[in-house]
Amino acid sequence: MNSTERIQAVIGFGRVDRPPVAPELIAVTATICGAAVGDYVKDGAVIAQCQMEAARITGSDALFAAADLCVEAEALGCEAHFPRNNYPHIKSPIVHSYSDLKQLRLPDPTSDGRMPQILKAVRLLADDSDGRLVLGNAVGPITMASRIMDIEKMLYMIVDQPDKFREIIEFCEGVASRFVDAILEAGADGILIFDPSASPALLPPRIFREFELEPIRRILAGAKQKNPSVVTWYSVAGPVQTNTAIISAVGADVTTVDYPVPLQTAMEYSGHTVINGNIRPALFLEGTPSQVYDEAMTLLDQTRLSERFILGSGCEIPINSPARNIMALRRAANDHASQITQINEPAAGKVRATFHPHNRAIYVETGQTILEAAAMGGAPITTYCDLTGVCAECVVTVCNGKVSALDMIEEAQLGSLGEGGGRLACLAKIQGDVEIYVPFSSRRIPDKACAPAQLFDESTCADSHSSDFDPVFPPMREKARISAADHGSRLLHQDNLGAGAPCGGNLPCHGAMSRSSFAVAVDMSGENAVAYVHDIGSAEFRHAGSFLGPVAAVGLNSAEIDTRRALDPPISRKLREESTRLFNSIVNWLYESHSIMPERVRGLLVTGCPMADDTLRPPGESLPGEWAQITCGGIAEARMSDYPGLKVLMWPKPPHRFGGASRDAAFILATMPSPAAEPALFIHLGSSGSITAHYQGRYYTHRFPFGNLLERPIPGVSRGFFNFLIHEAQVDGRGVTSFKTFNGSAPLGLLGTAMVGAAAGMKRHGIIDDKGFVQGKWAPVVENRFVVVPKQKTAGYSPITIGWEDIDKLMIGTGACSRAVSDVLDAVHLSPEQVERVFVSGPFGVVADPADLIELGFIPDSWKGKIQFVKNAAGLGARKALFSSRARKRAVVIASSMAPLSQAPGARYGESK
Amino acid sequence: MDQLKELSLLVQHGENVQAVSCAEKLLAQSCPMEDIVKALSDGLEVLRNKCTIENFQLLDVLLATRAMVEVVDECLARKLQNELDNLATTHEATQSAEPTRTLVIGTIQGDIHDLGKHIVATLCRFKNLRVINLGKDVSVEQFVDTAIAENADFIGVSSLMTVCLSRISEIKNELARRGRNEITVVAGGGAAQQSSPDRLNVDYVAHDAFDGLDYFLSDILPVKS
Repeated sequence: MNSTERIQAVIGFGRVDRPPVAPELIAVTATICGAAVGDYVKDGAVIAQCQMEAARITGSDALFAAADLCVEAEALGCEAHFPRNNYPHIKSPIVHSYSDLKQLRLPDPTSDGRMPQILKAVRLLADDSDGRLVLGNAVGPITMASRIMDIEKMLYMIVDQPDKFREIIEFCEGVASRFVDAILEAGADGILIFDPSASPALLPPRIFREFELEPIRRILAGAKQKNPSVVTWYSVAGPVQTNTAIISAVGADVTTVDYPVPLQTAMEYSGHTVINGNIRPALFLEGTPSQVYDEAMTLLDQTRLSERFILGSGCEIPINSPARNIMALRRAANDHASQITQINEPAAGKVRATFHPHNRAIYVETGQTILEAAAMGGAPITTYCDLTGVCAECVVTVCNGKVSALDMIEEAQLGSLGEGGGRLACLAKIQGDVEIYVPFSSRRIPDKACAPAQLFDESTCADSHSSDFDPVFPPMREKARISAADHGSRLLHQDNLGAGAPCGGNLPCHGAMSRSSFAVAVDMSGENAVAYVHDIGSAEFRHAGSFLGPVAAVGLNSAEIDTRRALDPPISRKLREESTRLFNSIVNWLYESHSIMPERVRGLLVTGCPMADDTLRPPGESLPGEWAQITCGGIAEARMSDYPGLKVLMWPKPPHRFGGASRDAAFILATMPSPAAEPALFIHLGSSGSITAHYQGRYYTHRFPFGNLLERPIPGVSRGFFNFLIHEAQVDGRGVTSFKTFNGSAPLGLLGTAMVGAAAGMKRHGIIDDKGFVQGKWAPVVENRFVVVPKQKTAGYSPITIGWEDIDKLMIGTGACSRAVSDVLDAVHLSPEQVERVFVSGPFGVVADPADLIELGFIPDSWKGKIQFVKNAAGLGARKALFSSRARKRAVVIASSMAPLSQAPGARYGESK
Repeated sequence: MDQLKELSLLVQHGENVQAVSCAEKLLAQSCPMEDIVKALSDGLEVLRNKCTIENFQLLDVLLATRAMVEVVDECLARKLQNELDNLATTHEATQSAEPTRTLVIGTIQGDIHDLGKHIVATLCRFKNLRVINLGKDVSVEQFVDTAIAENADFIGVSSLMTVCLSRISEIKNELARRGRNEITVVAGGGAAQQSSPDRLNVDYVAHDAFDGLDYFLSDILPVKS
């Protein structure tokens, strides 16, 4: 396959022989070829020559008909300065104020400035590309505007005179569109829009969305209209993770992301676009080939399965970078493609099954199905039926080797696809060494979790094959037969290497292509509402997302919400509005981040809804239409404004209301196959604490005030930076802290779980005394505060410290907790030693080491081996409720039979331990 | 709300026109100038925290510094009929006696991007640093000549284009040749941030404007009298 076919295949979810390589090589091609940059930027013939030569040397799959960022500005009348060995720049702006706009004319690409040189380069490259993708280049409207105006003036105009600025942008859009048309006519395979002035380093996301997003979309859509097989490509430098609309909303076929963007983040938001990047450009100038090679291999490892990736640099490769550094990219791509991981050793009688693109090989018995071998080999394939060929989701391509003959069901399902090597993995049996290609739609890609995944238990909580399987939202009915239009254009034309025919990049992405439908369990009881997305057919967990909960959105916390609602009726209306907004946000998030079309989401099952308790409603008032109450197996129905067809069910139906640990306990118990006879205790450590004891079919619940130690970010940090918080911390004997943040980056603050770990370590090593005062002159202590992370190592350049008042809060919490535990055990006449199982739930329960909880005095020493952390019990239960009617009923029964010991926090729980 | 707090908020949000009229009202009520200057300073501090955490938002900082400069130039300077430097002297005199440091700043030769550097210069001036802004496309000789002539503590050099980075390393060499090793060289900007102090042959690479400002004000460096 040639380079263009390779890039088109990646865009079209097809198979490739190796990852495409396309670093942004612009004027560096001149320095590689010994030409002067000043000559390169002025002559289309020199551009073409240098591009082709550099591509041959480096092995790049793309050719860039590009000079610099001033071409359009110059064509509009700006004077440019051309240094010999550097890019040109504009000498002075021609637009000083809005009135100057009138003087500008649309340039003619065939005659004005250096535009004709770009067209010449396109023509020359198109004639002689050697199969490489020829990309013509234009700049985005705001980049153009920042060249014809003084950039500082432009920024002020955006804010002071937005309407006038918008007209300038419209004009620049017109210039770009006309140029793009001419580039396409000259024969380019693709259009690359450089838009450095749209960088989040310069422009806040709101400005990008308001002024630049639509113009870029129109320019790219215009290109597609002219020629549907053209590749559209958008490149913006800088920390694009702070404005993911650049990746997900622009909708280019390929988006280049810069080095500050973590590749995982880019892939999460990629949706329809293929990601290109993102090695630090300066590495090519200052580094060594093996450094580039290693970074490239890391990126390729991360993207092996998703394959929505073209290897390259984060931004253009600097002039004077040595060719050998760039060549390392192609070496890495070649090596990565040929590396096969062997899972087990060969054995007599076993045959070798190799799976692509996973590049994993396993020796299996003959007669095993492809699906089984794939699962064992670490290349899981999607399936939604009971392996009978009914769902036809497991289509794979047998590239070579011997498998059993097509059976009747396969024939019926695959039709003519069978001739192209397509088989159903659940039915086809391996009969000799085989090589199998698993197409994108059949590949189970590990979860792209959004919000802190580590906090949430990702194991599936329902067995779709059990008799208990009773989904609240039935899956969509689909035709069992695959139509040729879906898979055919890719599978039918496969040669031995399985090259996919180009599709023009219009195929929808994974979530839409598979025939999956999804159900969402939402726990909105806390400050954060959490949504868990499950595939209905298999009950498998797919994604988790965290959102601002409605209670927090109206500025309250869960402890005060009941009283406030009673005293202040308008709060109910606000809560309802915020809840509706939350439901809509969840569906939008599924589309934007996971490409799941709203019509694939069958419904939301909501627990912990603050509106679920209508006992506080004045008698006679009916709920407004948005929240109609319908009896439906213990579930009430709400409605969503944006998606009226989508079901939102609140569970349990009012007036049942699960609160705190009674709900968590109910959920845990409901998930057990049979009610556990042994004494079990549930401790929920959240922003308010509660304890429930279960014993002999009876339940007692008790709340205690715990205080909000959940998040302790540096002042000013907003919610969105949860991933930067330290969730696990240990302090050693020297007072040195080791810690982990969710995303591995420099931290911004501490979560309560880290506080527990750190405080336990501090206590163990004498850094704090019994009263919680910070000691230890040898430890890093500043102003009586123990420095957990010094300021140089934090992302916010403020140190993260723990002081007496933090320890004090923790100790109040431990005191309250141990008091509550003893109260509840007294009520059921149990001693702590008699407790057999302890479930600790709630975000605070996710501590690294139960010994820390014991060290600080939350729980007695005798429970050491008996503790199970269930993390988000409420969420777990909600997810269970999606699929099991038995679980739903049991949970309601259990919750209703809870006997509260005390609802109000007593004064004595304010004592320190 | 307290008018000084309001002024601070207006500056944070870049509301230059409203900030100026708020400051005018305060002056009409005989509010001491030091209080107004402190309110501006507080606004910037909040912005600094917001920026380091949420990624440096250049436009927001630009608008805030514009608001701040307009309050100072149109309000306070008008009142005093002095320029910003004189105000800084007054401001300085009302604070504890802090010696002023001098900073020579510019964009390296070959590079014409200077927006970020311009913001740094404004912030430094506001914080009582004496700033000589050489503009863009500044040669190594110009940096060193000016730094020596002005008895500078720092040279701040900015670069967005990687191709210009190699010139930055010549600055310290030239300073050494002239026996002026004590002048500290700080690099910043999109290209410099991809490199390191060792490779660039500088004393520090600043992440963003506030980081550079912190460095220029920090206590660990000796201050020349």
